[in-house]
Amino acid sequence: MTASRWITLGVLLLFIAAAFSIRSSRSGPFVEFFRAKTAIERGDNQAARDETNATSARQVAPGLLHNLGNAEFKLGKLGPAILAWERAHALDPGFRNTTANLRFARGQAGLSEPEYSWEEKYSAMLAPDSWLWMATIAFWTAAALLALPALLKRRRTAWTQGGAVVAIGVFLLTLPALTGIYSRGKLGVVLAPETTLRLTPTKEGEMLGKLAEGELARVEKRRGDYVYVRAASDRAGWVRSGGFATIWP
Amino acid sequence: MKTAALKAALLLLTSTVALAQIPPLPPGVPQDFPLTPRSRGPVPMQPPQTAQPFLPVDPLAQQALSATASFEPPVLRLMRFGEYRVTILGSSSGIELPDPLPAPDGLILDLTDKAPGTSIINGRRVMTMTFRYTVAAARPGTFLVPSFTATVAGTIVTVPAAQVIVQTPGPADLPYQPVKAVLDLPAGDYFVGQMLPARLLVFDTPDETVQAIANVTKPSGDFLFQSQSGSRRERIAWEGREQSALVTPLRLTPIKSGETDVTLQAIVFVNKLNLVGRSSGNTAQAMLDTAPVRVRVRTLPEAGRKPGFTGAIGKFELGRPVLSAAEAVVGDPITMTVTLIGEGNLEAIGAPTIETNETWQSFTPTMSVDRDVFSGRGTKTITYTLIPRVTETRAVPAIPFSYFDPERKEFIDLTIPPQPVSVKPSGAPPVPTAEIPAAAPAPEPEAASPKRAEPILTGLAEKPGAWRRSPSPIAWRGWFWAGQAAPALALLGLWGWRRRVDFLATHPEIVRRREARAAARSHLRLARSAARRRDADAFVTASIDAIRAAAAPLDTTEAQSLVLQEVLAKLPSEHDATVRRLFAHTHTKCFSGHGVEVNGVLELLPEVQRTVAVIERHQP
Repeated sequence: MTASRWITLGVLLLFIAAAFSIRSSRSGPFVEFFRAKTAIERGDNQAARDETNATSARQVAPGLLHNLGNAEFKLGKLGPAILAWERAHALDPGFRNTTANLRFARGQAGLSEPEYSWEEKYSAMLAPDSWLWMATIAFWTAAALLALPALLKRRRTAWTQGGAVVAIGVFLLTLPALTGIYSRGKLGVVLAPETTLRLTPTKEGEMLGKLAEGELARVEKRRGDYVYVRAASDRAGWVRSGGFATIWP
Repeated sequence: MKTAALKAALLLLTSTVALAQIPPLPPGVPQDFPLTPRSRGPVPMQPPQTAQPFLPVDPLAQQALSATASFEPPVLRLMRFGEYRVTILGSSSGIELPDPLPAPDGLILDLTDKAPGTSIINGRRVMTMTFRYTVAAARPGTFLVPSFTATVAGTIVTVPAAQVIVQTPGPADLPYQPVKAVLDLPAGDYFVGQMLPARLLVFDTPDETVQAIANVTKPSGDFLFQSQSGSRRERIAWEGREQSALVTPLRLTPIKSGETDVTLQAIVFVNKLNLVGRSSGNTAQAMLDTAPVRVRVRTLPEAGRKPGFTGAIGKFELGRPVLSAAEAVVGDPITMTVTLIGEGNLEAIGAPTIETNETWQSFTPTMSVDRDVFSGRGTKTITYTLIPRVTETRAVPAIPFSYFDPERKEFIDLTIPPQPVSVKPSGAPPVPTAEIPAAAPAPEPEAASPKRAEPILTGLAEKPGAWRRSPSPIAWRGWFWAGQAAPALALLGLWGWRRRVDFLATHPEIVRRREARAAARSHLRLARSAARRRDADAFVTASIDAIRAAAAPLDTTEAQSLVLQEVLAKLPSEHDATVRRLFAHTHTKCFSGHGVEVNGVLELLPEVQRTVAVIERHQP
């Protein structure tokens, strides 16, 4: 094997090792998770919520957020429940129970299903980090495979050129997902019931309408303690940031 | 002159014959069907084919081809449409007429349709084909369509001439009647918030028939207005007679008490008719306003209001409430569906609420309305989500509800009765969600039929999954983007290295100069070291090596091979003495065979360093 191949392979392995080392280094508070789960099972949702909130302040996991959503829902907190489920769904899109709970809660509250663009739906097929790592590795692999032979004065082989084409293809496939992730980053959940939409970011601002608890809206700008959000049917206005939380803080 | 008179007589005869061929009106056609001018009496209509006695088609009669031509009516008013008919007797196929017809200047003939038929001639039934043209004139006068020839399967047939007289409308003539729009709103008192049973009617006239209604708007009146999609044709009894009209249902809701006028505006598409009552083939679009209708709107009475009134006005009945499960578990939600059936403001009715208490937790109910736009009758479905909080619960509580009946002018109680339900503690096994009527203990036959399963809250996650510090993607954190710099910098460094290597390969003198300087520095270090040791021989050797290394030309010449003259050639003359003394010392030691005087040699170190620097400075 030539030196260029060794260097290319080394760079690739370096990326993969970095990605795996980040994943494998995540050891979490399992005891707190199972303690909260047991509390929900015996009906003590308040204790489960307190335990889970304390844990999630340090570390989060999709299962933990799913169970937190269940506890919040049973406590009648629809907004925090939907927020927890949305976060769990973003971390683990393959967990069908979270999807079912979101549909159930929205149906019960009379909330319409949120409308997503096709890029956002595409990006929801995998966890955002998976897309980002895939795009990163594909991009730098392609760059390395294209640049290294020239830099090392080695002849381009079919192996390097084929690898570059595959890496570029993978990177192009991730681009719509990255766009979707970017736009999903503006999504948030209304936490308080009957949240008032105001014309100006002030307490005395003219009231334009109300948003239901648990409704999804997109953040367009921020000013002080207020965020300007746009919900379904183009209902837009300023809301207090305390009554609204983005899915990805 | 004689020929002209003969032609005129023939024309008159032909027209008379043509008129004579038109049979009397069939039964069912109104005898007062309007004409232009209306004073001329009824317009003769073509009889339906079934009115003729059946006779077999005579093949011999088919051979005798002939044609007729006529105007209907023979006297036409300006700006109205008439009809010009050409009938070929003896065949109904293979007929070719000139296109365009030889119409006189100022008379416009447009082919509207052609229809095959049969006629009885001398007791024999023969095939016919009638071509109908819409006639319009640009000016008053007498117009003559001359005789022309038609071809029937290769046989020439002469179509006789026909004449029409066009006159300006007189005072006795009825004016042109466009379609008319009317707001159909029954008289009476209405209430604020009541949905009124209004309709927009657009009536046909003898001159126009309405094809479609579009873009209905309400320019005046304190009403909420919503146009319904879809129109249909109906026979409407209006102003004492039955008329054909296109009907569009409307939803009008008064929002302010007092007397007010309501008008509507609509865009209609019409088809203009000729004087025979057939389509002229001309269409038009018009914006119509309805005449204002004055209505009196009153506020709802305060007296007699019943609990649970949420704005329902009309006539309603309550369907049987349905629970999603006859048994529930504490903490798990169940749903109750209530249907409200009837006529009224279904869309505006607020859902009667169940207050959250220590027994039940209630969420904002969902609602949907299904309504027949023409009858106005519909169904509102209200779905409540409830979570039992204690096992002592025996029923979903009664929900107060009432509505206002505008006919009886009183509030009617329609309270939703309590629904029995059994609540178990949360540790009990889950209850399957089968939709059964809450009031009946056993499911009814229709409840057993397969239905779409209602969504439920799913179970807990058994494993936490991958832990992380934040639910946000890694792109939300700075280290991710900082990490992107590592491979970028690596590639950039590699690129820089490659450029440097390529540059040095094309400029070897730079490498040699660098190596010469490095060698000179190394020898100077040895010289300093020797000076510190007071080793004069080693000092002299190291100093000469340093001077030779610095003075070596930038080619392949070895520094050790340089002689004194070659070194001196690289130096300004003021530095000669030091170099000469060092070389002399070496030559003496090498070639004299006895000891060398070393006094003062070691003090030459600063001069040696300056000499090396001067040589390096003077190198190309």
